[in-house]
Amino acid sequence: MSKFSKGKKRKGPAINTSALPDIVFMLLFFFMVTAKFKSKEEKVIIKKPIASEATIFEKNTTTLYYWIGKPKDASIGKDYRLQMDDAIVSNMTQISATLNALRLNDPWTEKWLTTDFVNYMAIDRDAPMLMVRSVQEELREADALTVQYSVKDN
Amino acid sequence: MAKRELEEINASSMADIAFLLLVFFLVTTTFSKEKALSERLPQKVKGPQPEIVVNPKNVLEIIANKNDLILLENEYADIEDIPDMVRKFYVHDKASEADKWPNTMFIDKGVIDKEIARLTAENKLDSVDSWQKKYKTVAILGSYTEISPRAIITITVDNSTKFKTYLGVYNAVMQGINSLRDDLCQQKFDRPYATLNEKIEEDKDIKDAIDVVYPKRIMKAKNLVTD
Repeated sequence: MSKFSKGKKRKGPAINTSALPDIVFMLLFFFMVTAKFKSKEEKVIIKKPIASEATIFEKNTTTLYYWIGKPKDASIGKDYRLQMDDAIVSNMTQISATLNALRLNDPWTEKWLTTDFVNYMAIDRDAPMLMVRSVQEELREADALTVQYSVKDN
Repeated sequence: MAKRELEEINASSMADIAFLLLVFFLVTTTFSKEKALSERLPQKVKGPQPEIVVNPKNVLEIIANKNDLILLENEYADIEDIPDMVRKFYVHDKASEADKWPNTMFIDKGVIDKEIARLTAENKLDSVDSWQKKYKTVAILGSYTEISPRAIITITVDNSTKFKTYLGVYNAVMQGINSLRDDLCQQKFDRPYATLNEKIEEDKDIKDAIDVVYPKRIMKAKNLVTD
């Protein structure tokens, strides 16, 4: 008589779950397509300085990356080094050479000649200004004047 | 004892639980956005460098030496002292300390009219252009007090100065300027300066106008010579 009869259970129709994998795959593909992996490996150790007036940095296609820090690989030495893209740069003049080559050879030349490069720099807090300045001099040489210093927010 | 047949557990709601979890993490996850401080490098001058003669009162001189000590207008100071000094540099009591701080000029529509008429008469068309732009600022903010166009803040560093010291000084100068900008924005529009979005045209106009009143004019002086 009870509403919650303990009697024989009626078997409802089984729920068709065959579409679930489709949904999961859809999600998987979505994240696979939209995810951006950090493509560049840092070869130097960087402890970022702290700054309160920083703004959110938005990457775009004309962003170039620089790192200044002590090499992770001790065999390279203990001095502060510059890493540009994936390689450690030994001669600073390589910077302006790279920038100028980009301007001339890139398929988007027209765009790149007119738009400004954004030079995104992650510099170790204890790096000497000599190093920073020699990079800046090279950037001025290549007329790429916008610099963004990566910082830690406080 | 007869074995009872185990009833199969209905696992179709497992998916619901999994999705609930997935959605929860999707919603709560925030990717830490990269923060950066921007600086515009000075353009390279081809040929001989032009000599610039500056009046000391137009310069707020900040030096960070090789031991990361800071000299503010030739006196030892802390980074925390810089924002206040920058504020004073831009906004100060004109009468009492006229020889210490840069000149300021009151700007409203009448002043601009007069100045443009004078410059046009003298045929200085380049300068007319920059005055024309001030109409827009006045239209947005009303009359304001402008710091002398010759006023600059210089940051001098030594080759061995640590990057964090330079960035700290730069940050402190920006803190001073931004606080002035923020005060003005709060006063006129009742909102923080940081909320102005450059992608919205109206905001951008306001931002530009405020930046005219409190321009960011930081110069890097020549290298300190280390012996």
